[in-house]
Order: sequence, then structure tokens, then C-alpha cells
Amino acid sequence: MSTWGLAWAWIRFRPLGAALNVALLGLGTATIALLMIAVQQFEQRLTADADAVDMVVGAKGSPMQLVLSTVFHVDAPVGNVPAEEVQFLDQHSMVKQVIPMALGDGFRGFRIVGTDTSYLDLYGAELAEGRLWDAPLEAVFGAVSAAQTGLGLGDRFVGEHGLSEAGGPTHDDFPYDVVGVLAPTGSVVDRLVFTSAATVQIVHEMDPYHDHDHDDHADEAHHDDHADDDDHADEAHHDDHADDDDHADHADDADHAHDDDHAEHADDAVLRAPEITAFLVEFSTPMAAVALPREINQSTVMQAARPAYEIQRLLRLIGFGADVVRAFAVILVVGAVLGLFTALFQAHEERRADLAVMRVLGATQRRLFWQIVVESLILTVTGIALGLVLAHGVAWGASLWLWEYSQILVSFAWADGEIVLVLTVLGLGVLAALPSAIRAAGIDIPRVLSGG
Amino acid sequence: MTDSHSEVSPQPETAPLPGQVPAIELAAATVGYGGAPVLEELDWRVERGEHWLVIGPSGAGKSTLLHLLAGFLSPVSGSAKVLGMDLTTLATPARDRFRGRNMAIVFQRQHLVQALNVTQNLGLARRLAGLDLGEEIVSTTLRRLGVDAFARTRPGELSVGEAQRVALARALVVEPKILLADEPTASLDDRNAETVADLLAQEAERLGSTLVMTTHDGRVRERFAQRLVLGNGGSS
Repeated sequence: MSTWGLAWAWIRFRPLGAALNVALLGLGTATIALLMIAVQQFEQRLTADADAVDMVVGAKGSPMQLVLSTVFHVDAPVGNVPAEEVQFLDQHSMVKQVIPMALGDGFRGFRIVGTDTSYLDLYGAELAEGRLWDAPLEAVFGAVSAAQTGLGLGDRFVGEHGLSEAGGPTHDDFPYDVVGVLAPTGSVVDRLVFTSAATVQIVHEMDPYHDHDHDDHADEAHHDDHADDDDHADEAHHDDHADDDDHADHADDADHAHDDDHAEHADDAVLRAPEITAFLVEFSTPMAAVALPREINQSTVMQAARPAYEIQRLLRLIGFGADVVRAFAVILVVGAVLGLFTALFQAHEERRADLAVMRVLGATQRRLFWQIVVESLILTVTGIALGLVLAHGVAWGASLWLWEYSQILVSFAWADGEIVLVLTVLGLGVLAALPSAIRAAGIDIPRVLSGG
Repeated sequence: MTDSHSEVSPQPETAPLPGQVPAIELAAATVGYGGAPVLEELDWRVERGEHWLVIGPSGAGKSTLLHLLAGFLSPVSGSAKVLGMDLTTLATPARDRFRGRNMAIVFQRQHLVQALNVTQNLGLARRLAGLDLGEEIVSTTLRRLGVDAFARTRPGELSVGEAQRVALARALVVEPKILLADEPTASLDDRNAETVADLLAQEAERLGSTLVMTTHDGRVRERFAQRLVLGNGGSS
């Protein structure tokens, strides 16, 4: 009968108590492990999306909101800036690439992003079918937005103001043609609908419904700055509208059945100065990370925000909530370890005669010490294993559910801190056994065997 | 020589083999707990293979003597040698191993490990004695003691008499050179007491083990020729 065999026999001799110890340890471990997995997934997704963009430049307001709205597409845009401001960025020596982003509309809760195709390169997105957008009112769907809306190549849809799934006022006169669908990337790209920036401008400037602020333009102050948004129909300084030519070209394109409509609107519309929601900027030098945002904030009508920095701020805010949950989980584990300590101590008291007889039979003090520690190790390791299986099982189930209902790719792989968690709980399990193990090693054989 | 409270009667009938160290050799050994001596200046020599009965009233030091022989206690003065080994010279782990390999003890209460069945209890004894599991000798021993039917039974399901025979089997399965028995019949009825006493003597004889049994049980006194009487003035 080996040390492990006897420890296992003792555990089986009190199955209910042992099962309770294991269950408590498992629940505590599972809670912490699941939290680790969730936080890591969340951070990885945020960081991966944020790392693709060095800097965002947009209307003045909240830098966090600017990043959330233009990089993660989870918040309303801050506002618009004159499209001509791109010249400042294009000509700057610290800027390698500028990608325009025109936002404001969505389709069944998925944001329509007016940008150029270089945006897709930031996330390594590739076409699953069809082709990329080229002419106005051509759209390409991300993998999730295509799957969720059920739209595919050749389908036609109209955009809606804002991002509400229930839908807002629609641009009925400006239907989009779906010309491509992207392969899944696991990034924010999957949940977007892409078109050209010019298309967004055309739709907004020419749609008769667009005589109001966008519902999702939260920064009213910005709109005060751009008061001409509301009465743009009365303005007559759009001769140099960058999109006019595109739109005229589009009007001449016989391949598009709705060209006549567009041309008609083009004739009717009085275009305002072109605006853009934001520019995504890639630095040409690391020095730009410090110097360029300050320069933009001080010398232009725009603000610059660094996604990496804003995400760290966001994670610190969210981290507090995670810390609270983690604290509860730690209390759960500590409670479980105390339960284990109590169980082992009580079991030791009940087995004092067994332990004394073992000494009589030739067991050394060290053997008895390890006998108790091994019993605790078996319970602790089983509890940890149960906890990890629970945590990763739940994570696996959640990933399936998220993919089934939202086509969000979530990994249930190991979180970085899990090995530390395992070692810590293991250490606590050994610690819980120490008082009993020390008492076992120092047992007074004559006294115990004479019934003292 | 024995102390004033002890007497040895009669002397061994079998002469020791030339060159063979005695199984037990106490020389003016004084043993006690916390400064109060229970046994004082005890001289006692037991040759290999002898069967001794240690008798005396409660508190006379019968159990203390066995604890001394098993190495649980050390003499305050004098010396105590077992199989020629002065146990006080051994470190605790070495003393534990010496005890496991050379001695076995049967108690008044069986002290079987409740979580293990009968076979596993015997297997544990062999492993702690540094032997292999010895499945063959385990089953043979159980059969010899008439408890082979309980091989897979847990101690809690045995009667007191059955459990005592299993405890005896556990002691015998390591084939000890010295078999110590501390009031092994005290809690048994007449029939079981007789059976256990007979088995102890027979099996010790068969194995060639030295047997030292303490008792104040008059039912088994006549079975042992050699007796050590302790504590004429002992108190209970």
C-alpha cells in the first residue's frame, strides 16, 4: 500500500466530505480561471484592433469616444471635420499613410464605414467572394455582418441613420449593391459594412431626410462648430466637392440601374463642403507618437487620439470591475482552502490511531508527514482539475454560443496567468495540510495507542 | 537481577546458541514518564525464540516495558538492547525502520486502518516493514488464522474476535523476529481469548519468533512457562 494508495483509500472512506472539498476548490478555481480567460480575450481583441491603428484624428471632443467610435465602432462618432484637413496629414513628414473614415449610417445594427480599401490591409482582411468596392454605392460586407444580415453578392440594401438594430430613417433613394464579402478576421472588420468615403458623403449630402444631425453624433458642441450641417441645402460653395466628379461618373455608369436616380439627386442637391468623420494615421517614425498628436491638438481644428493609450485607460477602468470579481473568487478559494484545512485536521484527529499504528509498523515521521500532504494534494489537484475543466468548458460553450449567434471568434485557450493560479492553489492546498501533517509526524505513539 | 518489584520465574530452559545475541537484554533499565519511574533498574534477558508472559496489575509497567522494547521510550538509566541493538543509539527514522523490520505488536484494541480492507491492512504492514506486498503469504496467513473469508472485508464489519485475529495476522505477516502482545485477550470472551492465545503461541513457534505477551488475564497465564512479574506494589 503506497502513500498515494493509502491517501486515496482515506479519501474514498469519506466521499461526501472529500467531494465537498473538491467542489469548493473547483468552484473557486473555475471562477478565477474563467475571469482570466475572459479578461485576456477581451484585452486581446481590444489590443489587436487598437494596435492596427497608430493614431486617430477627428473632431475635437472626447479622445476615448473618438477611438471607440472609429476603431472599435462601439460608440457614436464625435463629429465631422473638413475633409480638406487631410492635406495637413498627407503632407506631414511623420505620416506614412492616412485612411479616411466617413461614418454615420448603419444597416441592421452594423456600421457602414466609408473608407478606402487600404483600411482592410490594417487588419489583413481578404475577400471571401466578390470584389472590393470601387464605384459609389458599392458595398462589401464583413463576415459577421454578412452572415447576420443574410446579404450576399448581388443583393441590394439601403442604409439607416445611426446604429440601432431596430433601424432609423432610411436613405431609400440610395440603395447599395453588395459586391463582395470578406473572410473572417476575428477583428472589428468582421462586423462592418464597407463602402467608399465618397458614397457616405453623397448619401448624407443629397438625402432629403438628412436635414438633421445624425442621431449618433453625440458631440453637440461639435455640431455647433459645424452649424452649416443643418442648413447645407442653402449653401452654394460645393463646386469643389471632391465627390462630385465621382458621383457624376457614377451617374454616367450604365452598369448601375439606379444611376438615373443618383443623377437626379445630383441635379437636385446643393452640396455642402465635404466632411469626414476621422482619419486613421500610420506613423512613418516612432517619434511621431509623441510629437504628432501634440502638434495636431495645438495647431488644427482636429484632435488626435492614440488607440493604444486610450485602450489602456479603458482597461484600467474595466479592470476595477474585474478586480472586484477576482476578489470574490479569491475569497471563494481561500474559503475552500480553509474548508480543506478543517477537513484534514478533523480527519487527522479521527485517524490518530491509524497514524500511530503506522509508526508501530515501521513508518517514519517523514512518511506520516507526506501521507497527509499527499492526501491534500490529491484533493487539491482534483479540485484544480475540476475548476479548469469547468472554466474552459464554460469558455468553450460561450465561444460556440458567440459564434452561433454573433459570429464572434472567441478562444477558450489557456490564459497567461492560469499556471500561476494552478501553482497558487496547489501551494495553498499544501499549506492547508501542514498543521495536520506536522501533528501527524509528531504523534505520541504510546499515548494514542493506550487511548490517551 | 530484577528490581524489588519484579521477579523472573522460572529461568529459561533452553540455553542460547553460542555466539547468538539475545533477543532482549535489559541491564538496570529505569523507564518512566515525566520523571516518575514506572520500571526501576530492571534486569531481564530473553533469548531468541523464547515465549515470555509479563504479568502484573494495572499500572505495574507492562505496557511501559513493551514501549521500551519497541523503541517508543528510552531508558532514563541503564541500557536496553533488542536483538543486540541499543535502540537509544539509533536516530528516530532508523529506530522506526528497525522496529518495522524486526518487530510486530498486537494490542488490546486492534487498531486496524478502517479505510482499508483486511488484505490491504496486511499489505500496508508489509510495505511499512520494507517488504513486498506478498500476496501469497498474506492469504496463507489469513487462512492459518481462520479469517481468510474476510479478506475483502473492512475492519468495521468484523466482530471483536475476528478483528483481533486479523490484527494478529497483520503482526505475523511481516514474520517478525520479536512479537510483542499487549493484553491481546483482555477484550475477548473466553473462547476468543483462548483461540488468540493459542494462535499467538503456535504462530510464534512456527516462525521462530520471540514472543513477549503482557497480560493480567488469568485465562492465559498457564500457557506460558516463562514469566516476568512486574509491580508487586504497582498501582492501577
